[in-house]
Amino acid sequence: MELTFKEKSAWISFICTIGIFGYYFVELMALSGSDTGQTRTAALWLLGKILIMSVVVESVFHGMLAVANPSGAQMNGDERDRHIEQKANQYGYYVLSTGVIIVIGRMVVLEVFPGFDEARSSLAIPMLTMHMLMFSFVLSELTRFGAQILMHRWGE
Amino acid sequence: MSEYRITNRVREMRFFAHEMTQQELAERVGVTRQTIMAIEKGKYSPSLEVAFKIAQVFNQPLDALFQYQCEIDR
Repeated sequence: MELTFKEKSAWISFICTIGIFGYYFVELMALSGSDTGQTRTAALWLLGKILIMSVVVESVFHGMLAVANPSGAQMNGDERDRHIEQKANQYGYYVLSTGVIIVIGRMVVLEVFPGFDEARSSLAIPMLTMHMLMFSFVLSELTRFGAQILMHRWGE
Repeated sequence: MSEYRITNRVREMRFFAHEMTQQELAERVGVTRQTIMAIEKGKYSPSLEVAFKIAQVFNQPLDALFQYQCEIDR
């Protein structure tokens, strides 16, 4: 099975996103249960660590890929790769916008019914609204990379 | 509802061009080998530019390589 540069790149991003943000959400669940100033600070540190880790790991692996496949890196995909990317972006956008709409709905509910505020939530995850948006973003990224991989394999 | 389909003879043309490899054709056209493979399988319809480039490689008119058919009325 021979993969194009863009397909390998999509695999790297897909696996890195699962690994790094999987770790993030597992660590975040460990912080859930009490939404105090201490857990908020811990969640912010975790977020900073994850963002730096994400940039470093993706850069290193994509750099290694470019060194191993210089012609592919120089070409940076052809028209079919761009077509696949556009379609995959569209699927990712649907997931992201669904997440954003859910969060907006939740914010409206909290505005109208203050009794459902975050402090009384059964999840009690620090900065829950931000994390719901973050989860939507991560899910949309996974959809985007997953769709790219599938369309490359199915010969879109 | 009508179903439209673009068919092509790229594989056949490669055969008659001394079994030109997909990689060689891809390099001459400026796409990846996987794109040539997808075109031959009919899973991807190339842009006009790439279609003209492929026709140019085989020194054939465009309609000798690519055919457009309105196949099914249902």
